[in-house]
Amino acid sequence: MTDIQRHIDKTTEALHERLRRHKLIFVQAGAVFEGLDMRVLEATRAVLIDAQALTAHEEAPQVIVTGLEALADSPPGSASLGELRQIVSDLLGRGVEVCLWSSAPRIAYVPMPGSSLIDDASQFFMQLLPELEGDPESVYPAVRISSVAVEDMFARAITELGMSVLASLDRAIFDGQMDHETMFGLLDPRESEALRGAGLAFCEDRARYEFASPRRFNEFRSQLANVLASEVHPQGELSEISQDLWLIERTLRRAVRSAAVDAFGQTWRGQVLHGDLNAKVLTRAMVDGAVAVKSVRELRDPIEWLSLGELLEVITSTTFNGLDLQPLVWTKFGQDVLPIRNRLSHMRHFKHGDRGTVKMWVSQVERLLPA
Amino acid sequence: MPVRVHELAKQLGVPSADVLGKLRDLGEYAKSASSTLTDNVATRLLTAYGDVGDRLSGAPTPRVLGWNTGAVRAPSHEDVLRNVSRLKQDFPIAGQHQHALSQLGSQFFYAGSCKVQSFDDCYVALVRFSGAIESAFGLTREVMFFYSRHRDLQIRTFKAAQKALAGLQREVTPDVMFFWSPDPRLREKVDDWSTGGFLTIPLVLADPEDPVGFVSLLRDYTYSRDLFYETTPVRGDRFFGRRKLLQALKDDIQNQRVTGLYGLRKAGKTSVLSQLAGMVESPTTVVVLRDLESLPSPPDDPVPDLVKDLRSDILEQFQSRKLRTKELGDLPADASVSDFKRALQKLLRANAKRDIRLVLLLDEIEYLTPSDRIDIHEGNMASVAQFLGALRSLVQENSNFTFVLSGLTSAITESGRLYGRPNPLFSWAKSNFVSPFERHEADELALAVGRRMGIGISPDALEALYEATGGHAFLYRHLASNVVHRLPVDVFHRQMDRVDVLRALEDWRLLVAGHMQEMLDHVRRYYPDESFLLEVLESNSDDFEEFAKDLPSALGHLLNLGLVERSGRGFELTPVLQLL
Repeated sequence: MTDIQRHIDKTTEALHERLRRHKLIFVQAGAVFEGLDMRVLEATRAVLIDAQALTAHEEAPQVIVTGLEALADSPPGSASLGELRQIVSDLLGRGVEVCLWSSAPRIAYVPMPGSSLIDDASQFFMQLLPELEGDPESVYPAVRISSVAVEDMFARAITELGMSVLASLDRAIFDGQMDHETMFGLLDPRESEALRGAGLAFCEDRARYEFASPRRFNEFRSQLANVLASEVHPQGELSEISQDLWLIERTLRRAVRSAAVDAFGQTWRGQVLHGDLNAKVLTRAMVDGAVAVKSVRELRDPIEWLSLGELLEVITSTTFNGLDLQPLVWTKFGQDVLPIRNRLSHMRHFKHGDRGTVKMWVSQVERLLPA
Repeated sequence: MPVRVHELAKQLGVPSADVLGKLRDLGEYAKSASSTLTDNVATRLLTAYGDVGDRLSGAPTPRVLGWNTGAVRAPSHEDVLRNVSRLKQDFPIAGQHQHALSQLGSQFFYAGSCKVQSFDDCYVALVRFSGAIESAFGLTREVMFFYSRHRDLQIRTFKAAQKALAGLQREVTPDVMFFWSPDPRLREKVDDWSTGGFLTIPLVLADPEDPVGFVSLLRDYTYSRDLFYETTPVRGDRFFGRRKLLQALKDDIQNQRVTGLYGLRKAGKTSVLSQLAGMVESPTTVVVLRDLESLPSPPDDPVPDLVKDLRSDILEQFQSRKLRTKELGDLPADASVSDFKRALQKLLRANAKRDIRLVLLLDEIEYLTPSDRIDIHEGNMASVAQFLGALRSLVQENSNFTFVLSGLTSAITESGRLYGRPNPLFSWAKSNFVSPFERHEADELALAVGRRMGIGISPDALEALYEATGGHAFLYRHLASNVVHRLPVDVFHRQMDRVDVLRALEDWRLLVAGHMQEMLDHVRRYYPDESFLLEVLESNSDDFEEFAKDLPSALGHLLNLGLVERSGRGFELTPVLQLL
C-alpha cells in the first residue's frame, strides 16, 4: 500500500469517527487537497448530495453535502443557509449524520442574525501528507497527487480564503512584515482556522499554528500579493461600511462645528483649527476649485476639509477637550475607526471585523454626540 | 511492565498452576510460574478472573471488582425458562451467550419471538447484567439482545429490531442493544446503520462462551460513544438543570404572560424551548414550536411565509387531536395578517369550550427582527410590527392563547419602535435569560452523562470543567467531550481527574477559540452598545463603571448573558471571554 493510500484510509477513518461522534461536521476541502478530496469522498461510502438538492427525506445513514461554497456569498439574511439549517436539523433529528463539504472556510460565510449551521458544525481538518525528504512541496496533495504547480495551488487556495482573510494576511505579512511564524499572532482565531482548514497551516503539539511549508513562504507571499492586486470587485460590505463611516464623520463634524460656534461665536471659522491645519485646509479647498477663497474664514465650513485623523486631532485638542467625553473614547475611536477609514480611502480590502466595528461606533457616536 | 506468573497468582490468591491453566484456556502459553507475561496477556488474565485493577498500567485503583459482583439470581419462573429454552433451540448460539453471561453474574430474564410484523422468526431476549457491569458501563435497566437468522442481513431487519425495542413493555435500556445474525459482515453493517445516539453492539465474539469477550465488546462500544457532545437540541433524559428557568416559563404560560427567552449563541435556548414544550404539552394544551431561521430576512418581507408556516403547524397539531380547524383550514394560502388573526381568533374561541389552549414558541426571533433594524425610522417592514401586534391582540382577547419568543437579547421588547411603528411588545413581554449552568447543574450533567458512558469523574475534575467554561452549556459539554476522548480505552474503569482536564485545556482552547470569536462577533454585529462596553472592560476596567452608567440596559444584557459578572464592587469579564 502506498503512503498516499494509507493517508487516504487514515483520513477516511478519522472522518467517519468524527462524524460518528459529532453527527454534524464541516470539512474545508479546497485547492490544496485536490486529488485527495475526491478519493476520500469515494472511500467514505456516504451519499453525496449537492446543497441545493438536499431534502429532509434522505434515507442514507450518512450524507455529505457538497457545493456549500455557493451559499457563502448569499446576500445577508437570505433564506438559503437558514433553509439548509432547517433541513439538516430534520435529518439530524432522524439520526442521519451530516458532513458539510466546502472549499470556502467558515469565516467566508455571511453571518446569520440567529443560529448558524456552519457554526453549529464541528470542524474536521484534513491532514497534509507527510513530507518527503528534501521536498517541502510534497506535503501538499495537490502537488504530489495532482501535480499542480505550487504557485498555482497557492493562488487558488488564497482566493478560496475570501477577501476578509486576505486583508488580515496583507496587514500581517506586508504591513507588519511578519514571517511565517509571527503572522499568526496578528490573525484572529477564525482566520487562523481558515488557513488550517485550507491546508496552508497546521497545528501540532503546544496548540500553536505553523505555516505548512516554511520554505515556500516566499511563494505564498508572492501569490498573496498577486491575488490581492487582481481582485477588483468591492466586498459586499463596502456600501454599509462607507455609509456608516459617512454618518460617523459628519456627526463628528457637526459636533465640532456646534462646539466651535458655542466657543467663538461668529468668528468660529477662523479659530476652529490650530497649527498648520489652516494652511492645509486652505490649500485643499483651493485645489478643489475654491480658487477665489483667500482664507479659511471664507470657507463655508473649514472642518469639512479635514481628514478624519486631523478631525480627531482637533477634537482632542485643549480647545475642544474631547468634546467633554472621556479620553478613552477618542483613543479607542482612533484605534478602531481610523484604520478602516484609511482602508476605504485607499480602496483597500476590509477585514472580517470591520463591519461590526464601524457599526458599533455609529451607535456610540449617535448616542454620545446627539444633535 | 512485564509480570511473572507467580506474582499474578499471589495477587489473585490462587495457585500458580491455576493461573497456568487459565492461560491455556485463553490460548496463551507460559512455561512455568517464573515465566514472564506481557501487559496485554496479564490484563486478559486478570479480566478473566474478574479482576479489573489497573496494576499493570499504574497505581492500583482502590476498588477491585469481579465482573460478577452484584450477580443477579438466575430466573426460576417456568415461562421464562421455557421461552429461553425455545430461544436456545432456535438459536443455539444463545446458549453459549447464556453460559458466558452467567459467568459474569448476568442472566436472560425474558425471551420471545419478535412482535414486529414479518419478523416473527427473529428473537428478542432481555438480559440483566451484574451490578459490577451495570455500574461500569452506566446501565440501569435490562438490555435487549436481538437474534436474526438472516445470513444476508438487511437494514429492514435492523430497523425492526429498533422497533421491537421501542415497543417493549418492560423497563429496558432504550438506546443500547446487542445484535446477532450469522451474516459474516454483521459488524460492518451494524456499525454503518447505527446512527444518532443509538448504540448497537454486534455480537461478534471470537469465543461466544468467553465472558472476557463480552465485557471487551461492551467496553469498546460504550467507550466509543460520546454523549457529552450534542448537535441537536436536547430534551428528556438528555436535558439537565434549568429547573428554575423552566418553572418560571411554565408559570408564565399558565398565567398567560407573554415571555421572552434570551441567551448567547449555543447557550441552550432551543433545548429549553423543546423541554418546555414537553412539559406543557397535554391533550388540552397544543404547543407549536416554530424556528424562524428559514424565513427571508428584511428587506424581503418574512411575514407571508411565517403566516403560511404557522397556519400549517397549527392545523397539523389540531388535526392530529381531532379538534375543530375549519376557520384556519379555509384560510387561503396567501392570507394577510388580519385574515390569519381573524381565523385564529375564531379557532381559539371555538375550541375554548373544550378547554383547548394554544401556545406558540417562536425561536430565533432575530430572523424576523434583526436588532439593527428594530428602531429604524419609518421603514418598509411594517408587516412585522403588524404581525406581532396581531399576536398581542390574540393574547389579550383570548384566555387560551399565549406565545414565547426566543433570541439573543431582550432588545425586541425594549425598543419603543419597530420598523417605524410603535412596538407592540414594548415593555409588555417578560424576559427570562438562559444563563450559564450553576455549578450544581453542571456537576449533575457531567456525572449523569459520565455514568452512562462508564466514566467516573472526580470532584476536582468537575471543578476544573466548571472553572474553564464558566458553566456555558456548549463549552462545558465540548470540553468534557474533548477530555473524555483523550481518556485511555484499553482499561476497564475510566476515570476523569483534574489532571485530565488540565491536560486537554490548551488544545481545547484553540479548538473553541473560533466559536468564541464568532459568538463575540455576533454580539458586536447586532448589539453595538454591549460590544462597546465589553471592549472598555477589557482594555480599561477602571473606566468601565463610568461608561456602564450611561448604558444600563446594555450592562444588564451583558450580565444576563453571562459575559460580565460582578466582582466585589466592580465588574469583570467572565471566564468564557478569557478563552480568547
